Amino acid sequence: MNTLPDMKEYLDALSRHEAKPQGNPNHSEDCSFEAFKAATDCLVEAVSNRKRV
Amino acid sequence: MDYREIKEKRVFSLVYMARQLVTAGMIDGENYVLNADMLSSVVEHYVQDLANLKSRYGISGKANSAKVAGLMAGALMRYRPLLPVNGRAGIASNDGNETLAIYHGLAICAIQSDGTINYEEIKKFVNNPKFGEWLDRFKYLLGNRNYTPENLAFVFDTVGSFIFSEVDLEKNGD
Repeated sequence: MNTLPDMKEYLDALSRHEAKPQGNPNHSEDCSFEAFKAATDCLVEAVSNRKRV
Repeated sequence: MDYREIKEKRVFSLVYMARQLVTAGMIDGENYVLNADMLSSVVEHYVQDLANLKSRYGISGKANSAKVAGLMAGALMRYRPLLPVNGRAGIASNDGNETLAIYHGLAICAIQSDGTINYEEIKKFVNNPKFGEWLDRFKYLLGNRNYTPENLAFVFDTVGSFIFSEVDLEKNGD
């Protein structure tokens, strides 16, 4: 029997994680994930803009 | 942070990166999908590799960002969690897994020691005329040549140490 989570479960979990209130300096893991998201968005945007040049 | 939390964190970071790359058209989201079973294998393999690495080098706390990026890239290449939707699709020319591994590692290593991002430095790196060639060669290495996860960690260590000025790789990690 397959007990591994479905991809939709991961995406739902990510949405729940993203919906959590952010900005609590005492919660270092949320800050770390927020920083990762910011780096991801910046990289993807920069590469997308570069491709259009 | 225990290994269960690290696994969850890495699933989130991979799913987030994959989603953004698909949205931007940098990964073919029409024909490829992130497979949950393979994704679980990636993070399981990663935490075992991470534990082994910490034991080997006597690391009692976190392994730095470059090691995280390298070990994750190695695990991604082993399991290749982006799979074609069509079972008969040719996969030789698709580099979605390599793209995911490289950008995931770069994002981890671009986080500055104070937890912020230097947008200008990232844009400068990406807009360097040699970036495209470097990316292609890195993808070729990942997809076609031989390496260890620690070799990949050294690639990310170089980027984090010499491209991004305010990054202290030791400040972040798993």
